[in-house]
Amino acid sequence: MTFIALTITGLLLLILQTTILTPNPLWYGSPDLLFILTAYLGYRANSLHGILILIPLSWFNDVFSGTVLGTYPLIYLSSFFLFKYVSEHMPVRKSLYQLPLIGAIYLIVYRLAHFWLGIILPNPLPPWSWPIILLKTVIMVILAIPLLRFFETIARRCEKLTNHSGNMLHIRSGNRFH
Amino acid sequence: MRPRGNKKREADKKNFKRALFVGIIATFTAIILISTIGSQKFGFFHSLALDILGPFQKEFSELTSKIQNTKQDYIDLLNVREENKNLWRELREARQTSHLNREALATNARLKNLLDLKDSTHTPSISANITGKDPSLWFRTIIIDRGSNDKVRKGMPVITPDGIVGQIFEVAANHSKVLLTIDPSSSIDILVQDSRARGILQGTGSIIHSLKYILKNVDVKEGDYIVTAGYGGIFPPGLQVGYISKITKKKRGMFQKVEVTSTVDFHTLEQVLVLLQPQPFPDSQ
Repeated sequence: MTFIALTITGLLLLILQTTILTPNPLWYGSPDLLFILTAYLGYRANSLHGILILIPLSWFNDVFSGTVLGTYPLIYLSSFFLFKYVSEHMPVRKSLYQLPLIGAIYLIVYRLAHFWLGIILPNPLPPWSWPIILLKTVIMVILAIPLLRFFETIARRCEKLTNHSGNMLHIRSGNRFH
Repeated sequence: MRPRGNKKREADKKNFKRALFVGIIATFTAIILISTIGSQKFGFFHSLALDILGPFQKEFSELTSKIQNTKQDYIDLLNVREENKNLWRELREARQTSHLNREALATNARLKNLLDLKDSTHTPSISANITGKDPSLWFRTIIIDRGSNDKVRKGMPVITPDGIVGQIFEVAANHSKVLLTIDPSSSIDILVQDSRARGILQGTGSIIHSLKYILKNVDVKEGDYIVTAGYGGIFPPGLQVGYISKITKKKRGMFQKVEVTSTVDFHTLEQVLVLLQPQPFPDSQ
């Protein structure tokens, strides 16, 4: 139930970020909402279910955006494992406390993706612009606050609805000592 | 016996008094009636009665009037509330209609421009709405609501009355992805309209394109219009692309550094025209 709900939520976010939140093709303020979902899954879901949710979503993002297929699966899956690794080595797992980490991992992964795309594409990419990337990062960190709560609410409600121990997503507690 | 006689006398006296009183009243009434009916005159007693009762009547009338006014005010208030609601609803509807009308006018103007362009181009074409835009850092693509069911094929040019927008990059049954001319992967064979100098126009991710391979000895100047050369077979020749906005000549190298600003306003792009021309590379579909 949680698995399906988060996948559908991800699809809706994808549609939102390619329509309303991108008023024109030259707009730099569009946030990467799926990246916030990736962060949430990295903090709270187990590897298998995180991958199962992220693969179709990143695949859909490839369809809607970009010219190099595989860019988004690479970005989201690497981010997912990075979030997962870092969150498992942090004392507090509550995702809201890890907002700065979302910004930091976003910057690292996108910088690496820029480098990788620069190698594989025949024409030069738009130059890496710190003001633009920092603007996007700030927008995303701000949006992450309500969105992480939203994902948390969805996960909890779905857990209550299913109300059995075999919860599909295996959402972990915010306290690592539980 | 004596008390009985006293009782009778007292009863007689009482009867007499009653009869006298009734008689006086009756006489008085008869006089008033006869005098009133007979003379038909609004006399002293009428005036007196009117003056005595008048103020009470007035107070009662005012009170009744007040009550009626209050009742009417309340009813009016209820009606006004209802009317206010209706007026606000009507105002909202009118505003919405006005907004829709303005939107329809704008759409009409845009479609008219597209239709004029469609009539002016000899190639068959189909209009399309933009349904999605690329939010990424590196790519500049859009999604349109026409696909292979509308005979759209990979590589077909996408234009507006202002110039070239891009080319079809991927095709599904009812939707297509368009690679915009501003995408870094986009390269178009072009001609400078006045000097007929040939070059390659490359996207940079912004509204400014980079025009490559213009030799230093070729006379180009800012403001010159750039059109498609038509050599690659993808774009028909003579379609407007942009104008030269900046020229830099460095001491080293054979070529000038030329920047071209697109004539298409990508900020307000909503509808486009797909030219359904035969494809030069059918294998690539």
